[in-house]
Amino acid sequence: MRRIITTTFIIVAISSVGLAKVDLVTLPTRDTVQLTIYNSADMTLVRESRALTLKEGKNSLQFSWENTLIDPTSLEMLPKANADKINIAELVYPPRVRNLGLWNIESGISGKVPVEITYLTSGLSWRAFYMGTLTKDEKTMRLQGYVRVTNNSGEDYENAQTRLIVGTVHVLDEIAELARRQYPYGRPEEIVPIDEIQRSKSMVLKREMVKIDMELPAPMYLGKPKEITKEGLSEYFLYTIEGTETIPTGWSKRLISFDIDQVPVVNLYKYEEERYGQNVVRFLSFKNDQEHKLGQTPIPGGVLKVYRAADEQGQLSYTGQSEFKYIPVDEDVELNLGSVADVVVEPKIMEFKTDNYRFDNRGNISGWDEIRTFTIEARNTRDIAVKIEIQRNFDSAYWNLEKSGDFDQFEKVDMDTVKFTLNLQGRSAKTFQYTVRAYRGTRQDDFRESSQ
Amino acid sequence: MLFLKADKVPITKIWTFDAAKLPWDPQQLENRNVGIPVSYRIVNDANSKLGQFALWGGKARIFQDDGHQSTIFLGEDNTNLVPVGEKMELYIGDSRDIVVTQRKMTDNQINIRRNTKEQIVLFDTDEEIVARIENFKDSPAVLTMLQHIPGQWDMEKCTLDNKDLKLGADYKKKNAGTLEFEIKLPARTEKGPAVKELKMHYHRRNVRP
Repeated sequence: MRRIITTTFIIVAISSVGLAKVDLVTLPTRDTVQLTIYNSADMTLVRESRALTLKEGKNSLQFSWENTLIDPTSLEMLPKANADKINIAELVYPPRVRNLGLWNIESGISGKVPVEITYLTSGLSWRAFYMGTLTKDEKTMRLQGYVRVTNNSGEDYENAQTRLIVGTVHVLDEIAELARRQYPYGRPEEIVPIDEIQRSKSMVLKREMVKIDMELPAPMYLGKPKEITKEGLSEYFLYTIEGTETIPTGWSKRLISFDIDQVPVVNLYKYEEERYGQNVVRFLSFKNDQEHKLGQTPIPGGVLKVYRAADEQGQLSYTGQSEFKYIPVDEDVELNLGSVADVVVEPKIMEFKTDNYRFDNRGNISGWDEIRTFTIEARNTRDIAVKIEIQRNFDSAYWNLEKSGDFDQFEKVDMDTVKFTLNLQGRSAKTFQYTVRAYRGTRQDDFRESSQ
Repeated sequence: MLFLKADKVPITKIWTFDAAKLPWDPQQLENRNVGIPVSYRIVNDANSKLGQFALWGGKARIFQDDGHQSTIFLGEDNTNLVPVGEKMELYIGDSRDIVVTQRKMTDNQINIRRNTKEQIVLFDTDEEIVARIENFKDSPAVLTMLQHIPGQWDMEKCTLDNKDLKLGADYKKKNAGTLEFEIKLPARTEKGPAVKELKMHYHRRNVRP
């Protein structure tokens, strides 16, 4: 169904005596349209230019947003020429009429006047997703970024300049909710029935399903992919897609954002019982900087699917998938690809003892030490070199630690956490030990004295 | 109806990290950025080409010129009535290019006082907090950092990049339990993000278990 805004502008046929002096405005189709689509909120800023034919004196223009998701409180019209002679006096919302606004314009000239109409709408969205293809030795990765623009706004946008905003914008109301209001500015304590909310959610869900069905593959046959210009503005990044796009309602369009080969990556594995349980979790790590052939702009959050070159013929094997956050320029990226079995970390408690008991004046125990010795073995069963971070948490801030064995780095992360880092060659293992002495009760006094 | 139009109203951009409201360690959050709230401050006075009358409370939407004869929508916020001479702060969105990683490195009980049953009845604490602030933006920023120390306390040592900070001169006491730091962050360079490290070593006094 084609419902473009040009059909929603209606000439006011005013027959009443009181309004007989108001001149009618014929509204042509829009000349250009620009969409600025946000991904942190269901919101798009639409800016369209049209040439109105005004007559000298009072003009009136009716605007209807029936069957669209436009926020009527955001409507704004500005003359782009003869601004000093045109006064867009007011936008009124007639009572007992839904989805209708009336612009009253006083014009000092007659003839064509270019105007710019802006408004916020919901139903257009975009998201980023990525494909990573690791080389066989997993030292580098080809990283391809895509953006997918989806239009469920109820409005067809033809030849629209399309811009995407990366950033977290603060909005007070959902644009879709503002679009559904009977009165544009609402009434005090207006209550939306729960079944309506659920219905609208289910509609969104259905639309999502439709969106997946209708998603088009990347138009590789078009030859050179469109360039996406990226620039920073305030706290946001603006992606401008080259040329214009036509996105009918109900359709999605996927465009390539970047394609970079040989991004150096680190095969990082993490072990932390309190966070990941007994499993080792695999991460793919790189940095969004020039050294990694990136670093031009931040990378918007999205989903990355990682494949690995399986043979010389270019066959791929699926490695994992990770949802990741927004990555500023120069920040490290760690993509969680899930738990693995081919890198193993086995901590074993080898000794437990208590010592240094203190007694109060009634003979009860008031303080003691708990001494635990752990042996941690890390095994890399893969053919490639990996880095393993083993984080150990303690239940108290009163401890000291002695370490020995085969590890590469040690770091006190915070008052009750330490981290051991190991670099393992392919098919190798390392073992290290540590003994942690935890001070309990009045023995903590001795700990403080010894640490001062 | 348009009731106010003023061009080139001066604004101040403010980034605020409130340690009581935002997560301390982004690395503990899976796939989630910690957004630093960004606000614009506008003063309703003659210097701002305003100050004729109190500004009504309501919804404020802020746009920015994009340099391509268009604008982008920056965000919106509600404001209360702003009398002449007063300021309003409009929270427009979050910055994810300033990252604060705050960790407590020490939290020990000291100066412990016990009753005749050897039970602890009163103690002081020895606490150290380290906040690492990284600016990944390609422009400088001033981060307002709010730190909270409850109860009675003494600052043992407070440093920014190992340089001593003095209460009053270098940071403010907003109230008995809140400290305000203004951290000037240079822009990111080719070498990487601009990094500042704030350390607070303090004792909380006369804490009861």
